[in-house]
Amino acid sequence: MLLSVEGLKTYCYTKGGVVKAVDGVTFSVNRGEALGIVGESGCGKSMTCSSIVRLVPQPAARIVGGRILFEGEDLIAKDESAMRQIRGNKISMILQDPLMSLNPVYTIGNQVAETFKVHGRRSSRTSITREVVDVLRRVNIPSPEQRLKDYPFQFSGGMRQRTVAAMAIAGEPKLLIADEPTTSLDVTVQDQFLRLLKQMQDQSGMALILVTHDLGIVAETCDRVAVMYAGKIVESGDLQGVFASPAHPYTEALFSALPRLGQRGKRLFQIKGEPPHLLHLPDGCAFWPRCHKVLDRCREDYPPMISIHEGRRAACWRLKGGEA
Amino acid sequence: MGRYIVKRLAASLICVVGVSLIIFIAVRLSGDVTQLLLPEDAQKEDFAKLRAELGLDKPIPVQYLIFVREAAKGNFGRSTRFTRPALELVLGRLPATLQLASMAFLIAIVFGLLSGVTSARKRGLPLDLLVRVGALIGQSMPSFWLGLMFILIVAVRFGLLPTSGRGGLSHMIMPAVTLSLFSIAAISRLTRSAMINVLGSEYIKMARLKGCSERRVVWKHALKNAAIPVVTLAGLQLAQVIGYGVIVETVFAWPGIGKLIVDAVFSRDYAVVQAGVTLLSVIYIIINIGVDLLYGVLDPQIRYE
Amino acid sequence: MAFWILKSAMNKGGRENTIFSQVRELPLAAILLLLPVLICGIFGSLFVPHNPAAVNPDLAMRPPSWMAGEGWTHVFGTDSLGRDVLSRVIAGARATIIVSFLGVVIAGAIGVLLGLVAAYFGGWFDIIIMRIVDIQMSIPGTLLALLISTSLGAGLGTVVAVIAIVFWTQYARVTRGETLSVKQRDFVVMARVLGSPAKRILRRHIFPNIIDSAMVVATLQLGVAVMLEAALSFLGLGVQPPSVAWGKMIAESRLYIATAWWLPVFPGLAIMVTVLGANLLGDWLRDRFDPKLRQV
Repeated sequence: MLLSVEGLKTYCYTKGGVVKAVDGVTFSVNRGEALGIVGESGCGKSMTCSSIVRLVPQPAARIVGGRILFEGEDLIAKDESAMRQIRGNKISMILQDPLMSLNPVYTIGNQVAETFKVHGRRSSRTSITREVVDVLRRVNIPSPEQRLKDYPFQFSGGMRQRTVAAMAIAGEPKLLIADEPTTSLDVTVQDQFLRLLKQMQDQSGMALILVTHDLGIVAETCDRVAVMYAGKIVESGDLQGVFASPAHPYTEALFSALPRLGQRGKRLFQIKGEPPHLLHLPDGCAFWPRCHKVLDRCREDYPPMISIHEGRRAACWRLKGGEA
Repeated sequence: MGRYIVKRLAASLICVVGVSLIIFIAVRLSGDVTQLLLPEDAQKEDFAKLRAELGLDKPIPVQYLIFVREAAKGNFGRSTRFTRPALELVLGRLPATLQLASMAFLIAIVFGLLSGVTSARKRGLPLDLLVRVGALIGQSMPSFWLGLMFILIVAVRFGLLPTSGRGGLSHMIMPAVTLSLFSIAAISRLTRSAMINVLGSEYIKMARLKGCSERRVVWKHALKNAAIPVVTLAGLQLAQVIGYGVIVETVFAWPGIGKLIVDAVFSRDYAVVQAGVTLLSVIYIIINIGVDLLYGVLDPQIRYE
Repeated sequence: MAFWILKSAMNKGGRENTIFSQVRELPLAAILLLLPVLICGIFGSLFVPHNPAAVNPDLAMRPPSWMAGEGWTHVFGTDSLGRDVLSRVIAGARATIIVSFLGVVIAGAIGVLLGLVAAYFGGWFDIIIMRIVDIQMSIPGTLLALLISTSLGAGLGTVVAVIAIVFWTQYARVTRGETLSVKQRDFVVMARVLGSPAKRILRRHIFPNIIDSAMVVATLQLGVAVMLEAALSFLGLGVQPPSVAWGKMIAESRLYIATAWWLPVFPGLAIMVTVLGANLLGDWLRDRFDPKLRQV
């Protein structure tokens, strides 16, 4: 097991109160595996990723509990300089908007080379340049030698995101976290990029955490999936299992909301209601106001994570031996 | 980039011409020069003769052209006080002004940037508050008064530094610091807000994700981006430094162009006023071209347009 | 409009959580600083403790009376002619606020008008007006002020003219920018398509939308205008006697600086208080209404 997140809690302290952005999240990722984290906007998936690399926006937000075990060591216990060794080197992350992720005043070559320089991998200019060209080629950027002196604004959206990916894998990380990497890209380019991620995984045996709100992407790239709602994981397990028979009503609803071929004439299913404001969570299960299978118990107590069978878990009262 | 430079040079040339026009008009409006040059009991014919001599009987546009022609040759007329060519007089004082202005500007940039960056990094903490309040107060103090207060406290009370005149470092510190204070404040405030803006960007987060140290993030990634609006401000502050330099030179009796111009205004030595203001404006225009070039260096998108 | 601005002091949710920024929610500090100055300027002659022009050679060069243990007769001391400094400071407020206020308003009127014309009608209007702005801005403000004073001589009118001339360019630039962007907006395009005459469009649609920025510029410039007026008075180019000006008081105090510290200190503090208040007000307005102007 490469990464094991146990009971992670990251809270945000705002004027209006405490927002429990990540409230007791537990999941794990094995070497070479691809985990998809799915959920609506605001469910806490990005904050979870930021927490793993310990870059939560302080002082407003803080990790207040739990453990993050990476290769056996607790990342929460590490100090800042130790974390800096890990970022870009053992764990990398790429963000949603490729244009904003690149510094507009430095060349592509300069920015990709920086990962090498910062982690002291190579020392001479020529060998760094060689490595940069090499990694740019690995992410399928054409004629990389000529592109080194270009600036980000001269690249297309897809190429920029690939450059960001190059910066991320330059350090040969064991784990890559991708936070909505394709959301800003055109649909055709999205596909290319996902295939690139898969290719990178195959080449280096790197693990991948892919955060998205799009179930289709998860289906194409991931081995396992975790569904998040209001700061907690509500269901997790292997891809086939969850997709074939979702255990949690929220997951079910997500699938029902997907438009399907052959459904013409019928109204598209919508999950009734809206995601809750994290400052005003209902008592009991956070999903009960929108749940089509709600029970009395749901309104009072939050259900624990219940093991369905090997690897599959979900937090729903309906699973506790059938009916409550 | 070449086209950019050419465009700027052309615009600057127009500015120089325009400035000369403004100066010409202003001085012509100040009154009849001949009144000053002749004794009170002079006859009308004497006035007429002098006017013809000075070319004041020609139509105004012609006078302007003559002015421009002569100015291009470096002839701004003679100072009525010192009877030397005005331009020669002004140029003689230029080094003193340049010395003071550049020292003040340097202090302003160094301390302004440093305090702005520190303030942004330690946002919300007491140091930030201190810098911001200091900057606000610094921008509210008139430079001549500040200069006098410095003299009062440092020179009169404690006798640490000389109060006037030009000399070594000890003579230069007070006027330079006085002159720089307003600019330190302005640059500090803008740097702070530009930095805070930049530090919230995605590429900064990305740099941290790559494992860059905080120092690298701030001084390599953030600063170059934050510098762009600050450079504009620095250009404007230079105008302040040159302009208020006039006053600070007067307070500290620093023998620069500023003091020369002020004295000339009072003694109606128009040739000197003309020469001095023209020279300073031209210098300012040239420096602004430099500022625009600096833009090109900092922001690659400007270069490629 | 101004009344509305002052009324809208609701909590807009602070950007940071420091005491400083919370005080900034209302321009309390600005009001506390500016109000006394305004009162002195308008009603000063009603409550001056002594006649500001009264010359009293026996009382010359007295330090502040409370420091010499003489009570409160001369709170700020007396000057070389025996005139009460406090009264003169109060009297000086009038010149300052008249000049800066008038100057900034006139500059605003000219600048906004020209900026509107340049942006709305474009073409040669734009080119010529903006060239003039560029040219004028190539001369540092203080030098321009000296130049104009040379032409027009010293005095109140000159200082107002100087401020108007030096400051209009900034209004023109800002107004032009704002007008250009408002011009593109749908409701303006609609009005033009429907055949509204230019005057009407300018009055109804454009002007109300750009006036906010102009007001922000005005308050930000107020502080600078006060300093320029003080500088000109210091050099002797401001209001002439018997009118009192703070800058002039400071200039007159130079000779005695070694022995009479109170002579430059109090008028200078008055200037500082006024400028600080104006700056705080300007900042508050800018943060409320047009953060784009942060770089002004």
